[in-house]
Amino acid sequence: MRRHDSLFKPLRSPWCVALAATGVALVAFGAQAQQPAGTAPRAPANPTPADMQALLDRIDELERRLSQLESTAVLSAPKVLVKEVHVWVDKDGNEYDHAVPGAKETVTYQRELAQRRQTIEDEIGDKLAEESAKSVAIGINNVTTLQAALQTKGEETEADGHMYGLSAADITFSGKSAALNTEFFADLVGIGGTPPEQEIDALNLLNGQTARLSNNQLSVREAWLRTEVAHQRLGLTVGRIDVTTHIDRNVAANDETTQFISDALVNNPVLGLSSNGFGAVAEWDPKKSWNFKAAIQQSTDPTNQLGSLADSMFKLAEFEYITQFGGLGVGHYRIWGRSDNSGGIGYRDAYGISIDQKVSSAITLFARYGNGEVGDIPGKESFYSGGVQFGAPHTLHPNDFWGIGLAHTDFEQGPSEKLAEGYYNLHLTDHLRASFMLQYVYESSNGAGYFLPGARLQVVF
Amino acid sequence: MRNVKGSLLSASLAAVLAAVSGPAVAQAPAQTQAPAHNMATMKMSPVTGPNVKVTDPTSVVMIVDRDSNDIAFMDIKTKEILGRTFLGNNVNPHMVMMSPDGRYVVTGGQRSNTAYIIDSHTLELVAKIPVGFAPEHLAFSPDGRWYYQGNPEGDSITVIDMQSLKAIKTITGLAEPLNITFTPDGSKAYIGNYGAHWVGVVDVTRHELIKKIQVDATPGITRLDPSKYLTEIKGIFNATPTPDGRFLYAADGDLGVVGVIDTREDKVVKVIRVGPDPWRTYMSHDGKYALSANNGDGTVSFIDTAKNAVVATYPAGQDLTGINYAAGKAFVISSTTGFIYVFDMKTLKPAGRIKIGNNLFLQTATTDVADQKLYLGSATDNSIYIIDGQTEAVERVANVGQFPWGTHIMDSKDNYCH
Repeated sequence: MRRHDSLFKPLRSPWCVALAATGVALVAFGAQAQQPAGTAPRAPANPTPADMQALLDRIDELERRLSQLESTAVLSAPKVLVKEVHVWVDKDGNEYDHAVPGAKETVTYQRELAQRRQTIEDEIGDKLAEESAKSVAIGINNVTTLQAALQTKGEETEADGHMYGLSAADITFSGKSAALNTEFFADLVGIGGTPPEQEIDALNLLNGQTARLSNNQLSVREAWLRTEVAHQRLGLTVGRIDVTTHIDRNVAANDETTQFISDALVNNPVLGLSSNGFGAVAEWDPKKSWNFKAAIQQSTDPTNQLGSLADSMFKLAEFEYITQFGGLGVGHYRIWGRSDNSGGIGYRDAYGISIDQKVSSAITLFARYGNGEVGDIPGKESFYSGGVQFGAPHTLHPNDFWGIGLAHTDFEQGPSEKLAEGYYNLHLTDHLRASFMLQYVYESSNGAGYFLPGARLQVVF
Repeated sequence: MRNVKGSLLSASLAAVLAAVSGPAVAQAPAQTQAPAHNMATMKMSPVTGPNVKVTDPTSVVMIVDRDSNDIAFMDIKTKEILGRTFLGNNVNPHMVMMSPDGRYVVTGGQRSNTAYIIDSHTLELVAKIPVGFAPEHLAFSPDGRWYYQGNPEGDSITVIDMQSLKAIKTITGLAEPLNITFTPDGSKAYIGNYGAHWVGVVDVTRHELIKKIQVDATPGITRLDPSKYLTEIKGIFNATPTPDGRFLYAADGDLGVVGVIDTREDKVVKVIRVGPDPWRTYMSHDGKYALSANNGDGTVSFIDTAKNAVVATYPAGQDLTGINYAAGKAFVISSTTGFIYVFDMKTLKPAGRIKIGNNLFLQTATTDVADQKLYLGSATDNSIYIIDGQTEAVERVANVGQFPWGTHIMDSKDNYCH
C-alpha cells in the first residue's frame, strides 16, 4: 500500500515526460478555451520549469495512488447485500413500501446493491468473521497444578511430605447462531491426577478443580441451550448446568483456575451441590442495579442412579444488588436461598450471601456467609469466608493480580475446618498464566494442620 | 501568484486526466471559491435563495452514508431528508463535520483519497481535494481556518486552508493518525496514533509535528507474546479533552490504560489502568467523568477527572462504538447486540438498556445541542434512530441512505466518529 518503486520507475521516464508535455499543452489550450476573459487567471503561454516540475510531481502522486489501487483494492463491482425490509401487503398480495389502508405490515428480505470498495484485507476479514459467526467456536483450557503437603500439627499422617498433581483439560463448544438470541454451549472436561484431599481428610476440596466432577474420567461439565426473551431481559438456560455459574458468584473469589484454588474460596459449601446435572435457570436482568435468578438442578453423587426429576432436586433463588457507595467503587451484594431433597429425608433449606466490594480501582474486598442444612448431615452447617484481591499497581506486571483469603466451615454436630490461602497470578501472555499458591488448612476431626505450597499453569485458547 | 499557479496546475492535471482516464476523473479539479471573510468572527444568519436547501446549518443532522456515497441532510424538526450530496461511486465517506462558521460541510472519502467540501446551504459539492491514503477522521481549528484531514493508512494529515480551499501541507511522521484534537486557542493539535503508543503534538502555526508524548511504557513482559504485539497494534484512538482543554485523556488499546496529558506542559501527569482494550474515552459534558469503552471485556470504566481514578466499571455489551450524554445519562452503544446501555451520571449506576432492534449493526450517534436527543446511525437497516434521553423513547427514521455510519450536528458536544 505504500509506494512500489519497481512499478513506479519503469513508467516514469519517457511516458511521463510525454504526458507532462501533453498536459501542459492541454492546459494552455483548455485554459484559454474555457476561462471567460477577465474572470480567471490565464495560463502562461510558455510553462516554466517550475510548472513542469509541479506537474511531474502530481504525476508521481497519481502513479503512487495507481499502485496502491492495484495492490490493495478490490475493484468496484457493486456489493450485494441482503436486507431485512418492512413492507405492507394487501389482501391481493400487492406489496407496498409504505403503509396503505387494508395492507398489513410484514417483514421480508431483499437484496440491495451498494457502491462500496473494500481492500482485499477488509474483504477477507469480513468473510472470516461471517464464517466464524455461523460456526461453532471451540475453546481449549488446560490447568495443571502441583501441590505439596507439609504437616505442621497433629499426629503424623500419610500426606506429610507428599506431592500431588492434577491436570484438567476442558474443550468448550459455543454456537451463537442456533436461533435469534439463542446460543448453545458445551464443556467436556477430562481430569486426571491425584488431588491432596485423597490423603488429607479435608471438609472442603483443597483443589477446587475436581469440584462437582469425577476424577480420572472424561465427563460433561455443562451442555445447555440459552435463549433471551422479553426484550432480552429474561434469560432462560436449560440442559446440564453448573448452577454456580449463576448463583453465589463473586468477582474476587469464584475461579479455581485463576484465583483461589481452595474450593471453600470458590463457592459456598453450604450450597451443598455434589455434582453438575440437569437443570434450568431463569434470570431476570433489566441491566439496572439489581437482578434476580431462579434455578433448579439435580445434583447427586455421580455413583447414584436417579429415578426421576423428583430425586435430588435443588431449588435455588438469588437476588443481586449492585451499588456504588460514596467514594467506594462498585459493589455486588447477593443473597440466595436453597432447598433440596438430596439427603433422602425431605427438603432441607439453607441460605447464604456473597459480597464483593471495590474499595479502590485496584483493591476488592470479598466475603461469603452461609448457614443451613446440607444433604443428610445432622444439624446445620455454617460457613464464612473473606479476603482481598489486589491488582495493578500493587503487582509485578500490569495484568497480574493476587489475593489473600480465609474460610471457616463448621458443622453443628461435627467437625470444623479453618483455611487460609494466598496466591499470586502472573500474566505471561494472553494464553498463558502461572500462579503460585500457599494454603494452610486445619481440620478439627483429627487435629491435623498442613501447609500446601503449590504452583498452577493455565493455558487457554 | 500562488493562486494562479494552483489554478494552472489543477487545470493541467484535469486536462491530463481527461485525456488518460476518462470523464469521471476529469471532474476532479475543484471549483474553488475563495471566501474573503474571517471565519472565526463570522456569525450565522439564515440564508435564502433559489438553490438554498438548508437555510440554517444548525437545524440539520448530517448523515454519512458509506455505501450510497453521500451525505444526507435531515431536518431536526420535521425529520425529513432535505437533500443529499452525492460524492461519487466507491468514495465511501467516513466522517462528516461542519465548519465552525456553518458555511461548509466536509468529509473524507476513505476509498477515493479525496476530501470533499460541500456548501452547507445549497448542498453542492464545491471542492474535491486530493489528500493522503484512506482519509477518515478530521477536525477544524477553532477559528475554522484549518481543516485537518487524517489519512491513517498514509500515516499523514493533510492540512487544508478553508480560505483558499486548497491543501497547503501534509504533516508526516505519524503512525495511523486517527483523531485530531485542537487546543481551544488553536495553537496546538494533538493526534491520536492508533499505530503507536504516543500522542503527536502539532504546532498549528507551522503545521509541524513537534513532539511525541508516550502515554505509558510498554511492559517488558510483552516480549513473551510476539503473536499479539508483533502482528497488530492497538494504540491511541484519540486524545479526549476536558471542556477547558487543559487535560487530555488518551486511551491505549494494547496497554489497557488511559494517559492523562497536561496540555500546558505537554506531559503525562497520570496513567490510569482501565479495562482491556480500551477503544477511547468520552468526556461528560460537565467534564467530571471520562468514560472509557473497553472492548476487551465489554465494560465501561468511569474515570473521575478530579481524582484521575476509576470509580466504577460496569458491563455494557459487546463491540462498543460510542458513548453519548443526554438528560444526565450516558448512553453506551453496543454495536452488534442492538442495545444502548444507559448509566445515571449522578449515581454512576446502571440505569437499564434500550433495545433498538434485532440483527442491527449500530454505529455512532450525535447529541443535539440541548443535550436531549441522540441521533444514532444504524448501518444494516439504512436508518437513523432518534432516542429521547429523558423518556428513552425511540423513533426510527428509515431510508436515510445506505450504511449510515456517522451523524453530526453543528455545535453538538458529542460529535465523534469510530
